Amino acid sequence: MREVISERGGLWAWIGCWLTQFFYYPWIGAAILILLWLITYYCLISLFSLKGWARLFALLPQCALLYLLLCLGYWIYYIKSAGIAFVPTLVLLYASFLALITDYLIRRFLHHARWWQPYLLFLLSFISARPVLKIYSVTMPEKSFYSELRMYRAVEEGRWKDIISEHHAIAQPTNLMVVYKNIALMHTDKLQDMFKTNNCGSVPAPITRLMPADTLQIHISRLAAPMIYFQYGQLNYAYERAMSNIVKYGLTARDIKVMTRCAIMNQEFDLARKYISLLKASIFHHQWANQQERFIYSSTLLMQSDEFKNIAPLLTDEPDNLDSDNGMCEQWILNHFADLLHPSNPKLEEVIITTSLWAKDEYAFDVHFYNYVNAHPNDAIPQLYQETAILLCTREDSPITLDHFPFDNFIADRYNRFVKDYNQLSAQRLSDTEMSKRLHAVYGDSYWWYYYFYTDFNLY
Amino acid sequence: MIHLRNLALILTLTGAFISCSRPKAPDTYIETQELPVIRPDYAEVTMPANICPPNFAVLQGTRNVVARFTAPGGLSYTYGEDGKIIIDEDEWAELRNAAKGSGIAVEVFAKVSEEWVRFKPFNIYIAEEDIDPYISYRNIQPSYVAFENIAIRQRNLTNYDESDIYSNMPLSTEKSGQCINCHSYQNYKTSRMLFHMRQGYGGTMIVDEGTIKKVDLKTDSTISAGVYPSWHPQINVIAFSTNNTGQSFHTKDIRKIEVQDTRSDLILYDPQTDEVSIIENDSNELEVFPCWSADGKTLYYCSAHFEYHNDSLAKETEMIQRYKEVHYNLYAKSFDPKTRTFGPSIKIFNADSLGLSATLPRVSPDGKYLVFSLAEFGCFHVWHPDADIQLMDLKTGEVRPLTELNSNQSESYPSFSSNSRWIMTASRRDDGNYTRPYISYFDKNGQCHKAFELPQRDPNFYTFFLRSYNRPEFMVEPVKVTPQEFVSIAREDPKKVTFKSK
Repeated sequence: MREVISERGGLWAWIGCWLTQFFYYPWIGAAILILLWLITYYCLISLFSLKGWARLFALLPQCALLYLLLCLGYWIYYIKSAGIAFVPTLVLLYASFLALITDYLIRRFLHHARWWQPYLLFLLSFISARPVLKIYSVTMPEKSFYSELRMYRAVEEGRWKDIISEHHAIAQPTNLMVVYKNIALMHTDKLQDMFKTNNCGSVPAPITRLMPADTLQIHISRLAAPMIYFQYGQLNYAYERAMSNIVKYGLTARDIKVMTRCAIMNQEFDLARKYISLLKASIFHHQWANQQERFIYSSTLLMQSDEFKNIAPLLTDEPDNLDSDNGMCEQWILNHFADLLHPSNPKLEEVIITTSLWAKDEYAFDVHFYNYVNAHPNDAIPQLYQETAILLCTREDSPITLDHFPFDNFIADRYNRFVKDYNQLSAQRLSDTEMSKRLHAVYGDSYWWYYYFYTDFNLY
Repeated sequence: MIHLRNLALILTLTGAFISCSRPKAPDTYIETQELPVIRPDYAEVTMPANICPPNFAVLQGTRNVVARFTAPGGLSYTYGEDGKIIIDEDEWAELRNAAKGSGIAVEVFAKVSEEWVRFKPFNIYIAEEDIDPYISYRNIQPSYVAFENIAIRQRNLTNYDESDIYSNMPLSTEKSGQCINCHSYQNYKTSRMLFHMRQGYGGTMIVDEGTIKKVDLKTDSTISAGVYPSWHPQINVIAFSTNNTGQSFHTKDIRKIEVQDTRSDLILYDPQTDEVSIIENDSNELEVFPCWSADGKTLYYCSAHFEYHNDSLAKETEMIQRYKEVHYNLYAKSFDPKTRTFGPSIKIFNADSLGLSATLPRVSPDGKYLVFSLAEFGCFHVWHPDADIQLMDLKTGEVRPLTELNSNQSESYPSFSSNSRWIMTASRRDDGNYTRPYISYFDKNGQCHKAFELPQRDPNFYTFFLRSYNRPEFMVEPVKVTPQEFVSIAREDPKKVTFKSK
């Protein structure tokens, strides 16, 4: 508290931060904000003696603040001003209230009243609040921003079906949504559906301030790296990213929660207790903290919990490595799993193979495919792996020969039809976009379509 | 209707009554031979004769607790409120003065299931000797790459006063964040001190008897600017290491981070002439952590022999592949303060032969002992849970672990107080991640006593404090230069030093 308050405008930041926690339930946060705006409205109409339709002028600041909040979008991840949702409102409230009181006292005791008096007092009160003024973009955020927020909360709460539904409802998902979707598939044992569900992520548009020089690219690392790493069993990296977020952008419950989970999974129980103590002191997170605390005292409870039992198989028995993600979370996950050898359990095996497909890492797939068929000599090869093997075996340097494996004829037939249709459309000299569209209708659920037509795979 | 004046009087008297009432130890209770669970753990520790009260929390599942402190002679005070034992500073001074050279008996009572329980009493021993009244440290979140809101702070050990020496916040911006590190003093005094600033407004801040300047210690003939410093105790020269440092991240290991030098040397800097010269620069040796003896006639340092084998790999890549092969040994080098010349290096502790790595040497001001950190490998032991503090008897060369100071988590950066009676270390024993200052009494017979955590006014302070205490250093006086003065000098361009060949 002392640190925050000692900064310029720190008192507002501290109060703003405290009030922000009420957005844990959005309606409570919104209700508090509206209440503060109403008080400000009445202060302003009293201060400036507004009557009749002129009272509408007193609503202009609140409208501007509402618009500012609605326009924040992805900036919410990058703004370092603590308590941004409440701070401008608090400053406005303070300035109008102080000016109102001062004006009243001057009129009451000094019997001094000039038309400009309220305006001057309001200005002086505003300056006395020592606000930190910053200008942000005035463009409405994309839909993806809200979907990503909802999906993050669903990941946090383990509502995997909701994630898949949310993803399904979006025509053009971002890379981050695809990551969330694949995490949900992983948790529901449906990774084989990775390419039946839209796996073609896009990059959200860069966000800009008013000055073009301040254009800021959005990075998955900032948006959700701690949670993504945690869900993929990369506890050290999840912890590291959460810590970096806290250092750069301030303490948040969501980062502390990831750190708590990592500490528990890493069996750093003293560290976990520390974070649990912090969360227990909060208004809205103490129940979660109590639940996590049980895991410290019972590893059985921990391993049986929905939260952890799917992550445990990903804690690989591969040797420790020194590495760095260089701020590219998605890329690191793709490379890391595609490069892993000798998975110790079926879950990890599936993650490794599907990740190499997601990354279009043909060489990694070759290795993993052979490992898979050797490890499962009597099992049917999943359709997704067959699709990929049929596709990749046509490469000149491919080690895969179909003769050695029990392939399903219908997949080979379908692939031949795909090739034929592809060649026919090529012969018609259709654009890639048009070909992509037409083939998607028939083959959109296959890896082949993803492999040939998802060419805009940009990591951010 | 109550008159306002009467109401005020009633409120004042009620307030006075509440403030005067103090907890009382129960007359009837059940005794147990269990020690109470308290945090920080001050049971059976030895504390300095001038330290502030060791407030603690009682973790017995109830907030209804009291503790009775009894000094020899019968002086006794009882405290306890809301699960915490907060000791009055003046009364603590009375208690510790009465107990100097002996102990204060502490009885902890907790009301569990409507019955009072008295736990096994313990002592807080009070040494005859004082501790240096100040320490300084860098408060930083144990983050790996980001460095915002870092402060070098000083703390008065006789009370709880803490203030910034320098904070990076006034100059730290998104685009040019500023890392600050390696605060260091000459002979425990602050009239000569230094610290580094990296990246934004980079340079080394040198305070030299009232003058403050910012210098750039990098020259074309040295690896880097000065890094780990040691100010000569008598003359005005500073030994620095120069390091090419990199860090990478463990994918699984609980150590989480590995910080390695790919190259490092030792240099000597003269603040008077702003010249630097080489002390050691063997290309197959990684020399680091210089430390002067109290008489200024010996320079101790660490060095690891490391030869790069693969020319096709970048040094950083090869180091990452072979980081566990880096084992630092301890060396001593004679120094003539008059001629400012060094003698040959002598290996005084061969950690490599034990498959271990010795770092961060510090010599006791009485010249009898040297403490250092010992771990499996590497130089950055703050991230190594196996790192422990070792004591070397400089007369016999015997080395032993300071068991009373160590824990099963990392202990690093040891240092002696100016009277050689207290050893402080940066320990991660609380939770494995956040470094805290632990202090141990080191008696005249060379025995270390159970370490105690730096007391705070709020016993739960460390639970909620999310920053580490890096590089805790003793000081006999506070830093007098204000943070604002440092900031104004930091804004200036640094003065380039010149290289002086041998």
